[in-house]
Amino acid sequence: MKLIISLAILVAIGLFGGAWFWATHPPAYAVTIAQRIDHHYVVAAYTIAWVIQLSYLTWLGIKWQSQKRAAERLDRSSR
Amino acid sequence: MKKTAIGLYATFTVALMVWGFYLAIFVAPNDAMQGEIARIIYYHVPSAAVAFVFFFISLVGSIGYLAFRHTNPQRALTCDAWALAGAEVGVVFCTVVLITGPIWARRAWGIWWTWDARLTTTLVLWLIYVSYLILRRFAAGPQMQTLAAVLGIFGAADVPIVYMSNRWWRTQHPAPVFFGGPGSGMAWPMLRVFLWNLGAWFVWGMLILFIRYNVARQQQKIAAREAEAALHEV
Repeated sequence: MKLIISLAILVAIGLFGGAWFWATHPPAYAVTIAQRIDHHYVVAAYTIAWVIQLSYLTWLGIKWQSQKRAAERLDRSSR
Repeated sequence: MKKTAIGLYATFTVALMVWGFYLAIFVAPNDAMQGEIARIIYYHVPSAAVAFVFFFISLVGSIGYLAFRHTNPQRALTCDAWALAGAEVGVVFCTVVLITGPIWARRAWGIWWTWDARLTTTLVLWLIYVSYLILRRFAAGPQMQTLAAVLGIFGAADVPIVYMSNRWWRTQHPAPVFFGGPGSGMAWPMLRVFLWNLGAWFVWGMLILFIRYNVARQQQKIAAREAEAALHEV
């Protein structure tokens, strides 16, 4: 469980750090304000997509762990 | 062996995703009309396509559950786990579609949302499968599984309507890019990036579908053991 949470925190820091860097470094062709706003919207869309997917994966990992513990508890009580 | 296979598959998936991201951002050319904002297509459309595939898996699982629930309960439970996994992972991908779409729309159309045929049918699809998941979460017993299977089949009936909506009703959402008749399609430099991302999202989706299926099966086994233990106590 601790491993999953630590990994999730690390990935979240990496994701938001990467998104921040990407948002503050627009491509060379983004010269006008409209192009820079477009760039920020693309960064937002990609980041949100990854936040949703990775949050779901983390939730699955936590659920898997809690079920593993429930199965172990059942094993102990049946002995 | 199983763990190694999953690890290898996960590594392969991450490599595909990273390369897909690189292609989408640094290699694909800007759209001639919309500029950089059109790059959202590499996440938006593949997510929709993958969501449709998972709702289809949920449909097959639901039909399987209804077909086997009296004759082969073990197989019915397996089908039920696939139905649940397909619906839940489908909802995750559909959520991505419903969030990235309005972000794109805000820049392309100047509005976050409109009650256009494609947008509305997609929202209805999402709501049906969210209600499917709520039903599964808060109801219990074999009757719940039967009801959920029926709701899963009903929800899947909306998928072809969503797909055809921008062909049947020409409203705000753009006409189909693929299989949309003369004038539709994508230039090869963009198409290859799109196909790569479509494949990468599908492989990623299969990974989480497999994990979700195993969690659902584990949950069923625990529930069966708890029921058995309760019977012994009586």
